[in-house]
Amino acid sequence: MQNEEHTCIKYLMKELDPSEAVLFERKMMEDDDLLIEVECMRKTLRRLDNLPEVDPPAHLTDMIVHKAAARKSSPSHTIIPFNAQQSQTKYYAAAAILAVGVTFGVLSLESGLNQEKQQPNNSLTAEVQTRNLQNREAGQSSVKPWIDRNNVLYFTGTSSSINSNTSSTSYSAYMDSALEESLKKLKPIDEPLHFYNKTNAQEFQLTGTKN
Amino acid sequence: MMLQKSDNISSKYEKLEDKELVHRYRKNGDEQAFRELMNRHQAKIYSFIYSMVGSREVTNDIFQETFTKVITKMDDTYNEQGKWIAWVMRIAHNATIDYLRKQKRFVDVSSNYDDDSKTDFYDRLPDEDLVSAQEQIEKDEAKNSLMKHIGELPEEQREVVMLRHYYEMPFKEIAELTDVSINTALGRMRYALINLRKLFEKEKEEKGKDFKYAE
Repeated sequence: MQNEEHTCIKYLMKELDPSEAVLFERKMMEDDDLLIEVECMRKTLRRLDNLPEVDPPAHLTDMIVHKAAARKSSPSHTIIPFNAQQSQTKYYAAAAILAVGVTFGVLSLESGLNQEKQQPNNSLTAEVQTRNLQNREAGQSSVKPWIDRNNVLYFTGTSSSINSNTSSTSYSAYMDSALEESLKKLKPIDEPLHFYNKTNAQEFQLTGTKN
Repeated sequence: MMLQKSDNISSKYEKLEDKELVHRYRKNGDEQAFRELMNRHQAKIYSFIYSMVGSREVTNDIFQETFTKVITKMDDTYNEQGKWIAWVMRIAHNATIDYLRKQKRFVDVSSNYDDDSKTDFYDRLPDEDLVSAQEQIEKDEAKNSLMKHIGELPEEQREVVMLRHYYEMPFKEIAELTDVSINTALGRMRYALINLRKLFEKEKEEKGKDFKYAE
């Protein structure tokens, strides 16, 4: 039934294929009710032919045509309605604020990181410099003697005052003073047999080979 | 008679098809081509919008909005394979429906007319010198009642009737435009015709009663 109703409208609107239209006309001839319905609708539809067409105001069409011409004369120009312009301005403002905020945040973050990096560097540098300074000060007189197991006394050291240009006389003088200085650092033993005098102490001897 | 058609459109442009006019405007920025397109279709588009919203002021706004979109989107969105008027009509339809949705109320066209819009509306119709004054009055009355009854139709039914009438749009396209099935579009058209018939009959009965009382 619904299909028949739709076919009725399609027939009136001339949207049926010719063969379908012929079939529908045959059906109408057989069904008086259908014929009456179609004719009533056709009559109503004819009334719609009287619907008037209204032209827009001339100034409106002229304005639109001028807009179209302006658009083509400057392709980059975009015609935006006033409301849209307002909303676009808001978007631009929001975007600008966001961009400034993000930039500021990134810069702040970067400067913070730099400070953190610079602080340990500075302290490290200062520490190294201090150590170098100490080493330099110590290097002038830091001769630390030591004795090997054959009771041979060694001492070694560096001095900024010795270089390739130093004469042999001054070198030997320097060595003498270094030796003297090293000997001063040796401390005599107060109780040389302290370890061996303990009653329960057992003697032991370190042995080794030269191989 | 207040036809707005520009006189300076050459006959050359009048002979061209829409497709060619669109091509000329897009390619060369041919203002005359665009003006000819406007002249061909502006009345139908304007009438459709007017029949849906029933206010000249609002119609002017929607009409302007429609063509502003047409101008800005023509280079990007419009595919020359399709009918230009169908594309424009889609924009006009969407703008009209957007407005009606924003209003969130049923628009009674007859009650929404501006005070002077009815006379203004008919002032724009072509003069028919050969028609007698009595015939003209009767015609005007018929048109008046037709517009009034169309305004009384539900929005969905009125929409289908207007799209069909002004654009001779196939039901397949109407269905696509209004986002319903073809059967729904056909059904709406059928109910619109049934409702209009009822309204005309009711009007006829009331006139008959008035005539009786007058006697």
